[in-house]
Amino acid sequence: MVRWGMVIDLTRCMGCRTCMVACKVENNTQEGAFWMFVYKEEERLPWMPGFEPGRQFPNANLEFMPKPCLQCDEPPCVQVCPVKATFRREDGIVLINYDHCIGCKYCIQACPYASRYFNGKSKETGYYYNWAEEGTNVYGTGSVSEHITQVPPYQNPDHDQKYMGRADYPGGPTMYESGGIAYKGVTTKCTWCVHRIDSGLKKDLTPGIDREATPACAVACPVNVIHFGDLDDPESNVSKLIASRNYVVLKPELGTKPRVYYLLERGVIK
Amino acid sequence: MINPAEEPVWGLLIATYPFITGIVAGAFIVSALAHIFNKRQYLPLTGLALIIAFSFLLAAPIPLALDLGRPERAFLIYLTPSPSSAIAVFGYLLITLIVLYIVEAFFLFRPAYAKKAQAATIPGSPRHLFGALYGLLARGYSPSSLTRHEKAVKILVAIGLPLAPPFHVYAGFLFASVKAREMWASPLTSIAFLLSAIASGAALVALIYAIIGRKERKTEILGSLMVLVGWVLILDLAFFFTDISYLAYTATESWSLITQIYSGPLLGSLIFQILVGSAIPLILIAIPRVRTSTAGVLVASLLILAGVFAYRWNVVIGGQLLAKLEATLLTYTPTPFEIYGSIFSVAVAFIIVAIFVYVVPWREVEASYIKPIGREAEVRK
Repeated sequence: MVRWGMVIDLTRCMGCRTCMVACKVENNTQEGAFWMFVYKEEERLPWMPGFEPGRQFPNANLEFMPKPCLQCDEPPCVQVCPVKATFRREDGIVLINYDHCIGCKYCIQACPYASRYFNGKSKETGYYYNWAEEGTNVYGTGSVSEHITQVPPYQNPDHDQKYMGRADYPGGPTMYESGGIAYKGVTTKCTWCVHRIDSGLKKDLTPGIDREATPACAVACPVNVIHFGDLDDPESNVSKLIASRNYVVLKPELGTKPRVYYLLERGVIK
Repeated sequence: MINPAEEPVWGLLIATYPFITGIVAGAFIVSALAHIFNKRQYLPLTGLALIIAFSFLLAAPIPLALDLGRPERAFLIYLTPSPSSAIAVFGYLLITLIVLYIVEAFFLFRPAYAKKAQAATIPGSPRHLFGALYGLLARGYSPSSLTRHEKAVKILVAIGLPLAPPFHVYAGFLFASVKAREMWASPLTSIAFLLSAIASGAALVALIYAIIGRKERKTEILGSLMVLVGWVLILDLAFFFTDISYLAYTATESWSLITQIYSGPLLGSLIFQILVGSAIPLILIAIPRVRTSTAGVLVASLLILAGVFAYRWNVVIGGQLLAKLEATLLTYTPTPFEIYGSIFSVAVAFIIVAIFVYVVPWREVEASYIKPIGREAEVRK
C-alpha cells in the first residue's frame, strides 16, 4: 500500500519562498491563502517565549520552515467535520469535497498547524487569476496588478478532475471526491498536488522522482529542500532520508501523526 | 508576515451562540425544578421557563446559519452524519429537544387550555382571542386525565433533563476538545460553560418573571430562585479560578503570551465577567431585600447576563488570539454584519418569548396542577 510522505530539509532552506509562489500558481489559491507557507524565525526579543540571550545580535540567526499541510495519519480536522466533507484517502492524503463543505470552519480551529484556509471571497475578486477569461487580460482580475498584459496563464489541465476518496465511507466513493476550484464559502488546504500525483500514476510516473507527478513546491525548490515519496517503500528517497538522518515532526505530543518530517542536522547520523 | 491561517475565523456570532444555548439549558432546568425536584414553590415558573427555553432554542441556529460559509447546505449534517463532530451533535440534539419541548408544552399547558376554553363557553364572558385555539388543543381533555398529563410531563422532563445540560455542555466541549488551541483545551471549560449557562438561564427567567409575574408570591419565588443563581455563580467562579490558577502555576511555554492576552485585548471583558458579571450580582443577591425586589432582580439579572456574554466572548474570541505556530498575538474586530447578526438573533429570541407569553396561558399552569400538600391528594378542576 502506498503511503505518501514528505521530508523537508531545514538545513538547506534559505527562505526564498519559491515553493510558496509555485503552490499559488499551480493551485490558483485565493488571496491570503498560502497552502505552502514558509515560517521565518528571527532572534527572539526578551519578552517573547523562547528568548535565548546567546542568540541576540551579533549572534542572531534567521531560520526558515516551510510548512504544507502535514496530511496527518490521525487528522483532527477530519474528526471534527460535521458533514464528513473532509476525508483521508488510503494513501494518506487528506482532501476536501468542496461540494459538500458547509463552511463552518471547525476544521480550521482543529488544525494544530494552521494549514487550512477559508475561502471568503468569490472567484472573481479573490483568486490569483481567473481562468474563465483565458486569452484575455486574465491578470487584470484577482490580486495581480492590471498592467500585466495578455499572457495566457499556466493552467494544469488535471486540476479540474475529480479524485476519489475512500470507498468504505458511507455514501460510497462518489461522495468523497475532491478537485476543481474551490468557490466561495468553503475551506481549502494543501493537497500535496494530488492532481499531479494521480495523473502521474496513471502515466506510470513515480511521484517524487518524476517532476510531473511531484508536488509543485518540491519541483520548484531551487535547493532541494522538499522531498516527496512513498514511505512504505524502503528504497524511496524519503525512506532513505529519514532512516539516515535525525528528524522531528511538529507537535508530536498532540497525537496527530503528521507525515512531514523535518531534518534538522546535516550529514548522515545513523 | 503572519500566516493568514492563524487569523480568528469564529467571531461575535459564534460567541453569541453559546450565550443563547446556555439560556436554553438554564431555563429548562428552572422549568424542571418543580416536577423533578418536587419543589412546588417553583411551579409558577414552570410554564414561563419552558417558553423561554423553547424560544431561545428556536433562535439558537440563527447565529450559526449567519456564520456558515454555505448555510444552504446545513441540512447535510443530517444526511451525512458525522457523530465525531460536536457541531453535528448540536444538530441532532437541536431536533430532539425541539420535538421534546413541543410535546412537553402540549402536556403541560393542556389543562390550562381546557380551563380557558371552558371559561370561554360561559355565556357573557369576554371572547378570548385564542379561545378557538385553546378549544382545539384541549379537545378530548377531561379533568380526570390531569394525573396522566402530569405524569407525562414528569416523564418528558425526566427525558429532557439529561439532554438539556448536554445541549450546552457539548457546546463547551466543542471548544474544550480542540487540542490545537491551548486556551480552549481544558476539561474544566465544559463544566464552567454549563454552570454559567444555568446562571444565565435562571437569571433571565427571574428577570422576566420579575416584570410580568403575579404579585402575590413574587418575592418568595424570586428570592429562592436568585439564591439558586447565587450558588451557581459561586461554583462558576470556583471553576474559573481553578483554571487560571493551574495555568499560572504550571506556566507552560505560552503562559507569557496568555498573560499578554488577559492584560491586553481581553482585560476589559475579563474584569467585566468577574467583577460586574459575578461579584457585584453576588453581593446584590446576598442581601435579602434586594434579591426579592423587582428592581434588585432586574439589575442583578442584567449584570449576570452581560457577564456571561463577556465570558463567552473571552473564551471564543480570546482563545483565538493566541497563534498556533508562532509566538505572536492576533487581533479581532467584529464586522458590522456580525454585530447586527448577533443583535438580531437575540432579538428574535425575545420576540418569540413575547409572542408565546401572550398566547400561551402559562400563568394558569400552577392553578391547574396544584394539589394540596398532604395525605389526600385532591385533583381540582
